[in-house]
Amino acid sequence: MKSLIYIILRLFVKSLPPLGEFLLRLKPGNDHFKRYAQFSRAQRIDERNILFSHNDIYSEGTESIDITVIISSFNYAEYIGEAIDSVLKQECDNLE
Amino acid sequence: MVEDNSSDNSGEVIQKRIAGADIPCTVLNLDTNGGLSNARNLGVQYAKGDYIFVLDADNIIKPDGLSFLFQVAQKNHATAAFGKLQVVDHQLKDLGQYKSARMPSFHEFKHKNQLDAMALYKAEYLRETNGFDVEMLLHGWGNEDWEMWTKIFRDSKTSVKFIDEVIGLYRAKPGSMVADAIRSHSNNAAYIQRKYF
Repeated sequence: MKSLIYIILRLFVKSLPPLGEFLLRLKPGNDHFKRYAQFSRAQRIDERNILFSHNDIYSEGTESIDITVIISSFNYAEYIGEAIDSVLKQECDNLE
Repeated sequence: MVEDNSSDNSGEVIQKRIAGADIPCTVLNLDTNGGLSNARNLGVQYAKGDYIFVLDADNIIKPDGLSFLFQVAQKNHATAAFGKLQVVDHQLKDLGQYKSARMPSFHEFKHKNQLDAMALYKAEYLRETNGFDVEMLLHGWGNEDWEMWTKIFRDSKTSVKFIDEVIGLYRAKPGSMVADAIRSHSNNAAYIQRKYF
């Protein structure tokens, strides 16, 4: 019965994403609702939610970039420095 | 780099590391946490390269890893290229295991993921196919890579290349994350099977 309720709620959240965050406010500890809320937030993120920053060399141009390395980080301060260093040590050119 | 609204000092660490870097770096600092697929997709959206390499923040790419993958992908006009990942613990101690260690077939993705996301992808393909599927969140935690690779292997227009060399280090995930992914496995599997099989 419980899983049927979650299936129905999932369908509602899919068509009405803000519902996900509303459900989580009702039951903050619920694992399903945490995921639904994250889905909701992902649906509404646009440029207004992003603060862009670049390093100095970025202004010299990015026209001939072959490879972009994407590192996504959520609470990985302990490790992310090593991940970045490994990219900075790459033997290939035309990288961002 | 996509900083997905961390509550630790990730942002500070990132800014310190890239300040003196000799390659162009962009940081997308999000003011809300949208999850891994969303973060990767935003990275794809603003990427300048023809190819995109996905690196999780706790993993490491070997110095020659990208050049190996890029040469193979470019030569074969591949949609994706991947190599072996050596599994290590949090202190980078070798655990004697490998991930992404062979080329799987499409049908092997029906019940289980076969490859890690740490690979090189054609940027155009990721954009045309809307990248990583955020809807996986409605079905469970983790397993984003599973959906992406299933899509790539199902698509007959794509070609995937495997390099039988270690291209990076993969940190074994904490028990809690593994448990989340295992708990979500059957729901994720059902979703992927409905979508692709």
